[in-house]
Amino acid sequence: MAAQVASRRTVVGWLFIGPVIAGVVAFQFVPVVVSVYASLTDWSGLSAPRFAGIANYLELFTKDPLFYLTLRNTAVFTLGSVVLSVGFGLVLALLGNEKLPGIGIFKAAFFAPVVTNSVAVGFVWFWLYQPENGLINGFLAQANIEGPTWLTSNSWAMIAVIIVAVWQGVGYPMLILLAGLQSIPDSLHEAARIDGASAWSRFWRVTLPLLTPSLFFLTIMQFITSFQIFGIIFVMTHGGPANATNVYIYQVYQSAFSFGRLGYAAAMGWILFVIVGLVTFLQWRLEKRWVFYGE
Amino acid sequence: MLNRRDLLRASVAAAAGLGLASCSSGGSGGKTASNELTFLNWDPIEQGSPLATVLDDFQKSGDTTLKVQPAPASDYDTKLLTIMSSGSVPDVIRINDDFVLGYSQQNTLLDLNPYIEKDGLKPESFFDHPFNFPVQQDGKHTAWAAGTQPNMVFYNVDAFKEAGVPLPPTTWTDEGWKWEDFLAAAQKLTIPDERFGVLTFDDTSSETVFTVNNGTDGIYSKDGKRFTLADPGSVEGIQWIADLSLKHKVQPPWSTIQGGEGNPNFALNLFTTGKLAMMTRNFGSAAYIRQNAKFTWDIAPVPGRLTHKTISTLTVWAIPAKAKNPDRGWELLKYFTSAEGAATLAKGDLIPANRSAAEVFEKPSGESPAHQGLVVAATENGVNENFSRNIQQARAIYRPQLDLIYTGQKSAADALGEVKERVEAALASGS
Repeated sequence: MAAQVASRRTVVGWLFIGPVIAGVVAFQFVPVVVSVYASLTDWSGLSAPRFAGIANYLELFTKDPLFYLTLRNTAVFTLGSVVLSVGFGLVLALLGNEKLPGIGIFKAAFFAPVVTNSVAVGFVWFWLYQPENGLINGFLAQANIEGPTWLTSNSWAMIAVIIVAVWQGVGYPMLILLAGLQSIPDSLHEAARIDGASAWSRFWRVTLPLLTPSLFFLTIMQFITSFQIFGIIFVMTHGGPANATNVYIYQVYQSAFSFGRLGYAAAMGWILFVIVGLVTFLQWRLEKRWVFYGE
Repeated sequence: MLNRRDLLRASVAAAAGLGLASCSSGGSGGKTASNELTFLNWDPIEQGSPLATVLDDFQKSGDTTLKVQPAPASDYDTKLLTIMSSGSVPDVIRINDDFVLGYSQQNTLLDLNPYIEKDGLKPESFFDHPFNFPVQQDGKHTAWAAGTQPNMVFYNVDAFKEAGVPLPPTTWTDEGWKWEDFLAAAQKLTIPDERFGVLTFDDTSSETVFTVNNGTDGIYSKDGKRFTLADPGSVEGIQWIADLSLKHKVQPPWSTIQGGEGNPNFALNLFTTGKLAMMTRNFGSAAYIRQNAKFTWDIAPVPGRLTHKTISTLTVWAIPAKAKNPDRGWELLKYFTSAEGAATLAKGDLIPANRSAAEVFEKPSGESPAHQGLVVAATENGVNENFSRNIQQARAIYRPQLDLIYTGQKSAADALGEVKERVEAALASGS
């Protein structure tokens, strides 16, 4: 009798989790397997895939200069946006942690762009960056500074894109670091104050070490999302001018849907997966050197 | 009272029922009614527009029910590729003329020759360029050009008169209308900080117009294998249009044009607000200019040099090879170029592919442009970009170089010369 009940419960259990498992298999496992196979084929999407072995990978590494260029651009974007967004996020979190009137509005204002669609953000900033009648150059002109042609200058376009990404994303590190700050016991600061530590010393020796777990989590997450930047580039620059903002995922998109090379794009996707995996692994390996868990 | 077992049974039955229902629904991938014709278009079809009218008229003329599948123009090619890959295809598709060759080479478009022969359509009834464009090397006729919009010079007649500049020719001739004459006019029409004489390089058609007229094949050789934009004649043409800005200062700087790219009709606004005296643009722009310009304007041929041709942008439709209803699809394509259909589409400034319907453009309307008939002559002298299956890859390599040329960071010879091999490798890949 007990065995029957157990068996029935097992069946019911499977019935309940079955749809979830089916979903995972259909929409995650199968696409992953298909993309591995696709990366080994010459496939336009219109005709049947033709097995090509590692030809796509060889072409990427030996013949495609845009592969290295877009990797370099992505690295520049990632470094710039991660350093700035975590740095500004920390400053905003410290300000947000103060018990000041209206601080909630301050935090909401900085978090709002995080939940705003990248396409909308891209369009708004596109206007702000207009060289002749844009708001930014208008302000600069008030100070007798001739603003650059932000999005059409080879040297300024990537900076302009990084500024937008930081503006849009800074609310997220702010929120995470704010949570980290609020988890630090007041007693530690109090003890340091009694021992005569200055505000800078308290920040450097108490706050920052105890924030390192949050900073570690953030840098990993920010690296991963920055490697996948697409929306802002798609809307604002299309990778231009002269490939100055052409980043890796935009090139994956181009390969798949503009050039009709789905197999090649799949190979690019797997290379990115490996790169992101390696960077994340490296971050984990370095964790012990700078992350302090308070033990 | 419903116990747990009953509930499970009911749930499974409901799920099965839903599954069966979804299989039999009339979704896009499902079975369609026999008189239904589905087609994919890259813009919403606005009520009262020439295309909406011609579709209404087509439905009234027979028993076909049209089911439009609109897609945003900006992302149309992605959607088309996805739909064509899925195997569940519409009966008729709007297709960018750039891609007809590539789709044809992958056998995804229906050969229309049997229909053309069955209906006795004669090539001589059509302009050569739109009729022959979809004919592939193996003789298959894989698409249908409803009409064409040739590239013209739009000019502000009032500005010409005020500046005392002789008006451009009113027939298809380059006599007195060579590049040098065009530049001289632009110089006289330019008023610093107020008006530029010309705008030509924002329109990618210039890559063909100013190279073909300098004696080359244009961007690619006729067989689509060589990158002829790097040939000396083409390099000279591209450098010449860059120098309109860089050297002669008669064209807005490239940064200004690129900066305005996200603004719909930015360049047309420059013209209609009097900040430009001339611009090269396909005739499809006439409707916007007609509505917005507060001055007298007209059209002229593009300037000539060694030859005198213009690029002609085609409005192309096709029937996918896997279409469920190809016969009705052909009826619609044929209707686009019938006397009635073509006359309606012509109201949208589309020059009909068939010669007799194009006569409507030769009659003076009393409104700008006074010399509208020139578009027919332009169609007679129209060429297309010489396409390759890998056109998009080639463009992705050479077009960023144009940024460097148009901003004066590199000469056309250097910038185009350094990517020649890569472009030709891209053109050759997979072929």
